[in-house]
Amino acid sequence: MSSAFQAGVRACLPTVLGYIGIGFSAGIVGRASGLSPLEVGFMSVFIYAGAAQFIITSLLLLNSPASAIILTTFIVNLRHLLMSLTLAPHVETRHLRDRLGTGTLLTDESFAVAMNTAQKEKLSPSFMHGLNLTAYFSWIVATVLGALVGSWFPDPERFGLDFALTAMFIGLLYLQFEGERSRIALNSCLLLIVLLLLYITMRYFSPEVAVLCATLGGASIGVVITRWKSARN
Amino acid sequence: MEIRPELIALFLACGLVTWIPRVLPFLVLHGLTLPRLVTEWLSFIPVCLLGALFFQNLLIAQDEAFPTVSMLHVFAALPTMAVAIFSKSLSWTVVTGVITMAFLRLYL
Repeated sequence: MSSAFQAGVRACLPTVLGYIGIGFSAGIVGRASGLSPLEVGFMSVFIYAGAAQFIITSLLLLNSPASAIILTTFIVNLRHLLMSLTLAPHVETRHLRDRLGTGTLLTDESFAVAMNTAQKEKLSPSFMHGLNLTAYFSWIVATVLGALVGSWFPDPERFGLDFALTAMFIGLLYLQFEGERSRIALNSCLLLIVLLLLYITMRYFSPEVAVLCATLGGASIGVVITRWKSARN
Repeated sequence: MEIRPELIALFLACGLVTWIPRVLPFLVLHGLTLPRLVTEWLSFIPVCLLGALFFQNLLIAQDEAFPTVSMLHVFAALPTMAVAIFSKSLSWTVVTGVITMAFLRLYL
């Protein structure tokens, strides 16, 4: 095992707690919706996306047609395109399989951890694999465990487990802020703009599409503000 | 243990449409030098995306109306943010968030 791989595993560990909390809830909800633990496991292996798995489970319960479920999954997970676009230039490798591997197991959390690391050093494929495989493994184990013992915890929300995801976003957002100290004022301003855009777009679109719109809009306004400031100086 | 083949097929299809956006940039962008405008734009994606995901968790979507704010989530977010800032530790942040939410659900 290379030391870069181990560094990736270590970088992932703080997020593992979040994966366990959310994965466990996802497994419980899956079981409660009539999926067997094995089916929950296959879902995690093939799809590997938290929010989407919750949504798919609820759509299955509503007997939605397969086409609607697939389309919804596509839209909910489209934000990975943005993350992958942002991350790809930071990963140094000539090998196709390293690039495919890094993209295949990309999540919100591994993206945030990787970008945080990229502020300090170049990202090696081994680092990314260590980070991604630890997350993937934790997610599969947590969801299957949740499904296996699900009947003991009929209501995971009572234990606050659903908030693990929100808390993780708070922590990851703060770390990203910390790493971009030179533009704290601009980032704070962008956060307000993103909140406003999200609020408005959620009036007209699904929350997932609204997240995409707010992110695209926020980043574009970020560029406009930087260009405008440098033109004035 | 039960495995329904039609469900596995559905999961595979959902996995495929998830996988394509995940890997496409890694295939297409390789060896390309992006224009400065684009890299500048991409540099804002992490903060904007994480911010949008966080705020989305605090809002409740409504039919044909602006979303409402979930005060429960806002109240749980406050101590979580404080711990994120003072501990700079992701693990403590997640633990604080979960415990705070469990407490709020118990007593509210």
